Amino acid sequence: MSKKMIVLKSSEGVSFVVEEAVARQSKIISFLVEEFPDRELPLTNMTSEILRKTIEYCKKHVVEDDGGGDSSSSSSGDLKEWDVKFVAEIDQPRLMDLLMAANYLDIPSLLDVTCQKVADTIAACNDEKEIRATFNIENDFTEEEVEAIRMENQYPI
Amino acid sequence: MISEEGEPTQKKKKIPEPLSSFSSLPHEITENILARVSRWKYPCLSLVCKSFRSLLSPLEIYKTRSQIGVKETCVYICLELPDQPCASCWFSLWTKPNKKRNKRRGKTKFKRDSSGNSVVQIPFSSSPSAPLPYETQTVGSEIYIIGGPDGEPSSSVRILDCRSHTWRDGPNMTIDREDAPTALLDEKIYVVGGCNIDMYSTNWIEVFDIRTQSWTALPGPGPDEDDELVDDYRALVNVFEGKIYLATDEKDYAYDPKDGTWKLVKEKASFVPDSVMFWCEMDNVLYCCTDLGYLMWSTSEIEGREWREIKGLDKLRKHLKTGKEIKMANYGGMLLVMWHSYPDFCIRDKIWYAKICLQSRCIGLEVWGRVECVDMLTFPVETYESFYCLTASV
Repeated sequence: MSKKMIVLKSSEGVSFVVEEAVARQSKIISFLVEEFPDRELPLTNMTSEILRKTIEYCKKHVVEDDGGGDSSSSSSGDLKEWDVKFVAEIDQPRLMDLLMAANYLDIPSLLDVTCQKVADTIAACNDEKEIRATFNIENDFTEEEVEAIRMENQYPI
Repeated sequence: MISEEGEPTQKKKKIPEPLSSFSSLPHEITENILARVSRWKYPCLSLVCKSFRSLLSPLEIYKTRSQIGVKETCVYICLELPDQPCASCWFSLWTKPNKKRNKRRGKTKFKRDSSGNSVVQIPFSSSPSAPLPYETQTVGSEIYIIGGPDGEPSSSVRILDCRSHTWRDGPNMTIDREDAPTALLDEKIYVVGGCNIDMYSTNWIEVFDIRTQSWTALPGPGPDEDDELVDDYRALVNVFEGKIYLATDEKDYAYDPKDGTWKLVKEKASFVPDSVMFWCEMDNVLYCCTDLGYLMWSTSEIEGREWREIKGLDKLRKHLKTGKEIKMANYGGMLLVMWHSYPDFCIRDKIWYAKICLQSRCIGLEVWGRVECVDMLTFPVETYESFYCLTASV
């Protein structure tokens, strides 16, 4: 039995041919393939790079439920290790893009690992300035507001 | 697959501005991320930008934390201050991630605490003042302080929400109790004794249903059962296999909530000898510390219930045997032991502590402890009379 394939198209117009089972880990794609079978799905807010990464993740996490001999499902410990490596290799801006993709496509487990990685990055920062610099966040507080918050917190920072 | 590092010319062009940052994330995703960061980082996070600050409101962030299953164990130390009756000063152990510690000079027997060893006073905004935690029961992220201390019976219930660090009053018990031990079973807090059993035989126990926030009174073992229950202040209460066990100086009783009956399990039990200075329960196992610095454990298999020494802690005992006041608490599955060794009438502003990993060996016949760290806390007070140690998971 040949596997059913679907086509996902990135914002640059690059087509990716993916096994349906792989792509269906996205709840959005799962919904779309049922509504529009035999159509290629344009993902206009996703670059080829991020789409490729997302597919890489989904391929690793696909659960072969047809009991086929080539089942590649890994043990959960191995998968966790793989996830850690997977997000460790991505630089900061792309990690945020991947997180957005996971949110947009509704892939809960990918959203989970990317959120955790961002949280770990925040935790590793020494102060609020480093957090702003790392994530390109604008400081929208006035000096007085900062003072007021510091007073309110009362905890050493 | 061609790796990107292999195309330096292309990479130069590609580097530009980050495409997404927090500003483009939906609020619930940012909240999901912030909820995963240690709560000790929240003061710093709230200074990053306005949207972070608003997402970190205790009501919202702790709801998200519980939804995604993020929990941290928080240690609270309450100091009783001299010359001010019922004056308490609450501190929390300040966990500072990434903190680098200097090595202790001289001979080091134990590692220092890598997660930091400073304390910070908790600024409670609400009045009346925070009570002293004589008899407490931790339920998730809330600490219940029930009744009054020895000599000051009270029916009051005060509850500390460790997420927002605010106090609220719970419904009062039906009668005043002093020094009454408590146990938690099936979302209910059992408060045992602490009042005269002859006068209050029908409501010797009270049960607080956490879901309905209401008290129900239950009878004791019966006034003719035992004279010593009248004013036994060394009673030890714990839960095992759905029953509440009560050990007094001489006898062991069990209360079965299913049929509401008391049973005398053992006479001449002496499960709580005078040498037991403090005890606590963790995952159905009781732990205690004796006046000679031995840390002991006991499961509640009532047949031949006895204390056994936790093995592997000989070096730590040298510290503990000089301990004048020893307290213990459940530190996320580890045993947290706190003590001071000050002589009487001495200025006290420090507390020592050890975190101990526990392991069951020999099909549950032995418990071994491994000391993770020993460290010391210095408090910004002139001196304290005594201290209490509490933990909650937040």
